[in-house]
Amino acid sequence: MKQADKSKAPEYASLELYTAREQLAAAQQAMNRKDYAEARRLAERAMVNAQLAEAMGEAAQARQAATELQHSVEDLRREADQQALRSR
Amino acid sequence: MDSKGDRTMRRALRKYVLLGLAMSTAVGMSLVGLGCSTIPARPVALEEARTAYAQAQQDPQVATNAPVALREAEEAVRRAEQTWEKDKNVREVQNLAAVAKRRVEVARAAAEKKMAEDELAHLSAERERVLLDARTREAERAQREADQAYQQVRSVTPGMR
Repeated sequence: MKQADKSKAPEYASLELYTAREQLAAAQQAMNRKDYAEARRLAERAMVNAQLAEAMGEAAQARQAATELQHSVEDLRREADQQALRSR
Repeated sequence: MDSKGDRTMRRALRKYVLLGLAMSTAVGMSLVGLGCSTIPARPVALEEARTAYAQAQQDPQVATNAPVALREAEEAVRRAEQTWEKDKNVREVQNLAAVAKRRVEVARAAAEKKMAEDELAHLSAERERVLLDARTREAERAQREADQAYQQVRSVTPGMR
């Protein structure tokens, strides 16, 4: 959870992160009432949801960076074309 | 008279046969019902997890870009199925199947990340190329202008070669 919190997950995968946090709290409650099997199950779910949130965050971040670079390259190419026209 | 009695007999016989059929059907149905209550039904989540994994595995983008995460998802599906075969614990298997489905989603996200990173690398190279082209063209233009200026100066300066 801490790892996911530190990543880009809060920005890009808030639902998955929220689900993970809820499951972790539920696991803690199961621990308190000594239902250890249920606590383990909920902890497993919280873990995979936190990992999913992190993976989705990383994917979204990379995707956004690619989109921005794409625009930057398009702008550069346009500038270069205009420069070529001027110098003719 | 004979034929009338015959007909009554036959009608009575048919009634018995139908009754017997109905009863055996009812008994059979209740036996099936009994079977269902002793052996729990295979959780739907297990099938969903298997289907989700199969779809991801057949998706070449996932298979080539996130092989490790995909293998982890496969492992999770197998664990859910083996647990089902072993002790038919519905609660446990539902949980494992839910975990497996999430693992498939993790694999899809990992593939998405890898593809975006590849695209980033490609675009970075593209950006360098565009910049280099522009600089080259700029240098050529400067060279041409210098040449023209030189020619001009030469043409108006007597004695210059």
